[in-house]
Amino acid sequence: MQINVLATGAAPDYYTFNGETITAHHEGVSEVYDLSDFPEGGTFTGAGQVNGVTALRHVERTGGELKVKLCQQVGAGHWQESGWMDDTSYDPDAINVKQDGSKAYSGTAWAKTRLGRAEA
Amino acid sequence: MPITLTGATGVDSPGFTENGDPIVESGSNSDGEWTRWADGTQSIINHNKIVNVFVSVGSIKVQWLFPSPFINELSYAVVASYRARFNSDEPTTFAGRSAGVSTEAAGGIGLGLYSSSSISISCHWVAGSSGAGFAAGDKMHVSIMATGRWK
Repeated sequence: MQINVLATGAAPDYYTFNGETITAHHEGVSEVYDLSDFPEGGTFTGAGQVNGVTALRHVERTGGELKVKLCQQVGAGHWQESGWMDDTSYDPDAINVKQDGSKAYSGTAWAKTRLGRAEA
Repeated sequence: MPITLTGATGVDSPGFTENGDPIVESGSNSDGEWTRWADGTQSIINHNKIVNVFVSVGSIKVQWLFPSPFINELSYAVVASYRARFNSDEPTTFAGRSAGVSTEAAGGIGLGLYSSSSISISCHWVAGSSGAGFAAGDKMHVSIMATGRWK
């Protein structure tokens, strides 16, 4: 499965993967999303939230491969999506999104991981 | 009684700052840009929100998840307008048809389903205008901003 992690103001704390099933975890609550039946050319219209936050931003299947946009919560600072990567490269304890350090901002830059807030 | 004016502007004001800075936090992420001021004001903006979920020939919609949430759903106001594509490689506004359908035909932008962290944006086709209405794959580009309270 290919994933792209978006930098967002609200997000699950982390995700785990098992084949084409994604589990989103947020503040002790988990939600399982089985995407194995998502069809080629199908239109993603939304998915249920986990503990009040949106976990899946986009799903598509291209050439048989599942492509999913997830998200990671960020605070101050300028942040960009991770870019497409294999789900095996996802690290729940790390900042998967990218920080743009070239632009000024106020406050302390951080992103949330399974371990809590991590300052960039 | 004579009035005494003080300060550079002639008026003393408490001057909302935090650690001497009127801006507490700012940044940007996949959902837009945001700034939080010490007096509790927050502004957020997305210069290019794409509305692309087909509902019917009469409308398309999308949900804007805010780059930073407000304190509650009653604490902010929103404005939005159509905009042209920034770059030539952005998706064609009307899939499968030549460009040139006017925003007047597309009609107004609807804003609703307010929550503290998101809002629904919809674009509505004007009945009786030129064209056949929206089709699956159509996209409208919207600039949208909201101002309100973060605390």
